[in-house]
Amino acid sequence: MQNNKINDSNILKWLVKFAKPYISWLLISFVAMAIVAYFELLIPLKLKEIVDSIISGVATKAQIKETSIKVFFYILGVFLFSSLFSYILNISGQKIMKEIRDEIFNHVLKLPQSFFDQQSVGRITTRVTNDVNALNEFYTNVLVQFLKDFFVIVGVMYVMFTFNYDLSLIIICITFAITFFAFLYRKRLRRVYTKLRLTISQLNSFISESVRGIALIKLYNKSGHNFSRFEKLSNENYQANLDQMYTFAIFRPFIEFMSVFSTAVIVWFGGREVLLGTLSLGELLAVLFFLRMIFRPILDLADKYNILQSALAASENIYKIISTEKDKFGDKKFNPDFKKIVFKNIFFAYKDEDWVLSDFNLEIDNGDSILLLGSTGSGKTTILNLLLGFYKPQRGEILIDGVNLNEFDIDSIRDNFSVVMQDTPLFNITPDEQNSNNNFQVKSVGEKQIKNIEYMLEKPFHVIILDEATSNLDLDLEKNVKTYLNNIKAKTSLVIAHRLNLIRDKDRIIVLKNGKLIESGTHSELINNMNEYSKIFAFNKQFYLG
Amino acid sequence: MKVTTHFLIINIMKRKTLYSLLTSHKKNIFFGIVGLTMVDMMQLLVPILVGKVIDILASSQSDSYVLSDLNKYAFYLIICGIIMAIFRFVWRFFLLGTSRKIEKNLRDNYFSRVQNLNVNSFQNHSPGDLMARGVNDIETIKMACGFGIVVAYDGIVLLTFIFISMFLISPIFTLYASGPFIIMSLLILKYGDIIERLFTNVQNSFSNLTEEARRIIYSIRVIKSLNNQDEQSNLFKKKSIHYESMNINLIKIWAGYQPLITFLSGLSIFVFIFFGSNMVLEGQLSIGDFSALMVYLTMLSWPVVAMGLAVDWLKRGNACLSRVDKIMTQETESDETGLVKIEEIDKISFDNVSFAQASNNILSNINFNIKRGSSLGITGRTGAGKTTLINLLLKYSQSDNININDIPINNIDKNSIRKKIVYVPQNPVIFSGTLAENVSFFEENPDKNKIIECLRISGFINDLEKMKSGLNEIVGERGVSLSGGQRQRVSIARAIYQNPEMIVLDDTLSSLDVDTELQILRNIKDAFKEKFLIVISSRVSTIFLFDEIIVLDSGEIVQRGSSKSLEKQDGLFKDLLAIQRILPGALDAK
Repeated sequence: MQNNKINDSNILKWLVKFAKPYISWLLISFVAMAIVAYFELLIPLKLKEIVDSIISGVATKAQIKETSIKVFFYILGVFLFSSLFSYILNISGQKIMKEIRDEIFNHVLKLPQSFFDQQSVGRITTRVTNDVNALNEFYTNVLVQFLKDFFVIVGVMYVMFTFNYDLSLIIICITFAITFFAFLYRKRLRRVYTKLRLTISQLNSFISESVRGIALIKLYNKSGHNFSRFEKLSNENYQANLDQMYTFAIFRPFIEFMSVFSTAVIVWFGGREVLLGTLSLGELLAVLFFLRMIFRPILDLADKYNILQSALAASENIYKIISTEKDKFGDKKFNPDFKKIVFKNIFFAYKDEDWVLSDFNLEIDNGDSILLLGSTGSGKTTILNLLLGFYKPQRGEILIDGVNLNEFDIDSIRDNFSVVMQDTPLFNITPDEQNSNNNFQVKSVGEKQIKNIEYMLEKPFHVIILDEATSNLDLDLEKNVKTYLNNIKAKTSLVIAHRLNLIRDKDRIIVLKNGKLIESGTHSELINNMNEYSKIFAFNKQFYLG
Repeated sequence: MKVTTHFLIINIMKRKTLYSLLTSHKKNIFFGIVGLTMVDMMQLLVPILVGKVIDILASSQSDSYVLSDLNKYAFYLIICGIIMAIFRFVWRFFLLGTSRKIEKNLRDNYFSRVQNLNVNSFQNHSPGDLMARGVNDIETIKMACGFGIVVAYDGIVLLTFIFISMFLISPIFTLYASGPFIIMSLLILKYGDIIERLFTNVQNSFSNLTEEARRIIYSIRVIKSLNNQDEQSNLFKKKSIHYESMNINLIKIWAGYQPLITFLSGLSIFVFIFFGSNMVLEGQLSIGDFSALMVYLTMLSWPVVAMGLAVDWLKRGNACLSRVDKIMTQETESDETGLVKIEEIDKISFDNVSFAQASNNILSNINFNIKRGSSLGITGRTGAGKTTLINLLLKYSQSDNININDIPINNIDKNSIRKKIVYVPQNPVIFSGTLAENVSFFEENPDKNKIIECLRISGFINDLEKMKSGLNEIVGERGVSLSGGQRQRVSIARAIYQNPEMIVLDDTLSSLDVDTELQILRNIKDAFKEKFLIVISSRVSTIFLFDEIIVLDSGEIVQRGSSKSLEKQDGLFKDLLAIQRILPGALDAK
């Protein structure tokens, strides 16, 4: 995927790929369209026939009856086949969009955590929802009808050439001029649409973030201020919309002008040829008629071209996501009876070379009960992030019984771990339940923490990780959790906390400072070391005992 | 200035209709319609000019005369084309430009309304739902107000023109031919209502789809750690299928809509051949009139299609506007600008305050006073009602018997209270933006020194030094992930930056180590020594050194006093303290 460059032909290939399963549908709709075109052509012919015979006075009631019945069936045919055409095309459009939506979403779920650090939630959401919708017209309007318009133009040109060479040449020149112009316009069109899609995703992100932070905005009396920030984005969207309007307000009238201009040119040249006697008046009329026939699909194509550019702008964003590489792991299954997890000379930075962990080493034995200590920002949570495969260390390796973490099926690891993270959104219930329970601000963080822990303990697990999962609980509850953890045997636990009071002597304490492990051992071992831990302990003692 | 204007807008919020949106731009719409009319007229002129040329060529006049006429008419045609191009630009500029203006104004109004919604509204409307209405629906409204109007006008003008011309030729025939059109109008209206209903379903489903995607992406880390991707992906798929089926329901009806309209207008051709020809044969209609009628009938196809499109777009726009209106007409927080504004706080008192929600007593008989220069600690078990107490003071929830400076808070403008009393919630919210923007809450010209001072008080200064871009470091959804403790300290700095009279920390120090916690408490106590300080904590240690401590249990104050006195009483405080004083290893001794 990585070497798939983001260019139009790749994007188009990707878009067409989704249409492939519906190729027979598209073919049927194409045939239906051809039938409609055929009937539509027959109606004026029949009309002309009857008018001619009425004018020449040879028409009979029987003939009129017959023709009108025929016309009625043609009209009915047009109705039936164009309904069929529209039905099939639109339904397959919806089906294709669903496929695309699901594929992108599935892909997003498997992307590495760093992807989510670079994109806001609102933006990714927009890709999956609004941007996919922008592709609909590509399938319903462009893919099939492009073909039809193209055939019509080529067909009319062919017939025209058999009529008159010179005039046809003029029309071809004009058609090429328009195509060239449209090609030049492509960049501008695309820029306009890219900008438009960007502003839409910005608006979505801003609304999403504002709603999430609405309590704070209200409490800090910032709605007016926040509104002016929104207005800025709203203005950008307005400007992009105006740009799009201006672009089309020039593009469309220009092409329509070319249609009148060609008529003038043909009238002038053709008229001269008629005078010279190289062209009959009837032929001139026919060429003018063909000109009208050619400009309808050309104008149509101009519209489709517009839709195509809009779809390409939308799919470029989507394609970027699709070509972002998924997390790569192996397929080795995690064995719950593992012996040892080893962090070996780990260097890790979220960004550039801001090392959060540097030359970090740690060994975890099965059944260990580990307490990670260290001031905030010392890298405790990062250790969990690496162990759970959210990020990969830049240097060093994590080994489970001697096998690199990357060779494991990461899902099998996560299956066996129970993790409660810092400020986890309440998650242990289905979304619908969550909404009804989501009493704004009523459920305190402590209550959420209790629910999350309860849920995690229900899951069959072998390793439990609590990342400040009890920090907002009252001490009674925290003690219950700790007692529970102490009572479950043969499970490995990894707890990040700041308070020392509930430590037991079987707990192995790991002290971190600036991304390095500086001390490790039990309370009674460390307390006499007169190192970092004894300092922390003295502090706690003073703080708690007053 | 912007602040005041947008508050003005939202106080008068009537249900909007497409008509009311358009009539506020009468002038532009008028010019646009003029442009459109000009283009329509020019369009009729082109075939006339071409006809003239053919006539001249067919006539047997001298070549030089014909040549000069040929030049003349070719020139006219080009002029005609230029005028058309200009007026095409004009109507696009006025009509489509206006539709974009309408879109922007509506969206701005919508957003400011959303911000001021009552807190309860956010239970019924998820962020995804509010996103969908604010972006997707309003885009459709733009289409209705732009091209919707264009095709409606075009259709009506041309239909009227054609029918009048036909009527002048043969009233009886026109009567016959208009039969299908009457059926068609009835059908269009009926269809329009169905389209509106089905499209509302589509948009509602889109709201759910958006929220599902947003929710899952927002909790991605938890989902991954639970190895729950497949289940979540299925939840999303369900919404995706629902959205697809709502769309298909619409298509089932809509796919036949445009063809049916064309069919009905085609019937008039059938009527023409059937009745018209017979009328000629019976001598009721001259041949000339007959061929003229035919020309008009063939001209009908576009305006008929246009009318169908217009109804389709306008009805879709209507469906979306109703959805947007639904939010805009919802109850907002009451406007309190007329109430008393407090400038300075001298004293706050709770006199026998009780509070219940859904017939559950959350707080009962709460009594206490806070005086300037004192620090108050509130503790108790998880779920004891500690946060609710502060929500009442901030008028987040309604209650009687709370006074500030002896004025009942129900008589005080809530904004003036929130300006003076700044609350730091349990769950720190970090917005996408720089560190400086987060501390100053996106102030336009923030005071850098003040930001640094606030970060110093909140104990973030060491962390700041480690950040490569310093105050300009991007944090939030799209930036470096701050640890829980860092987020808490940034949100404390943000509160201090607001220059409050009183600061309320609600378990905001929970993710910090004892060392840092102590340092911050010291800094804040110092910074607020002449102001008010309230700290809520489920840990007794945090508020141990406060002037007064209130202990809450199941919504009641069970103990109060200084820690010195509470330490000696039997009660919850002592129990909580005891657990806290269990030192490492002590549990093993048991």
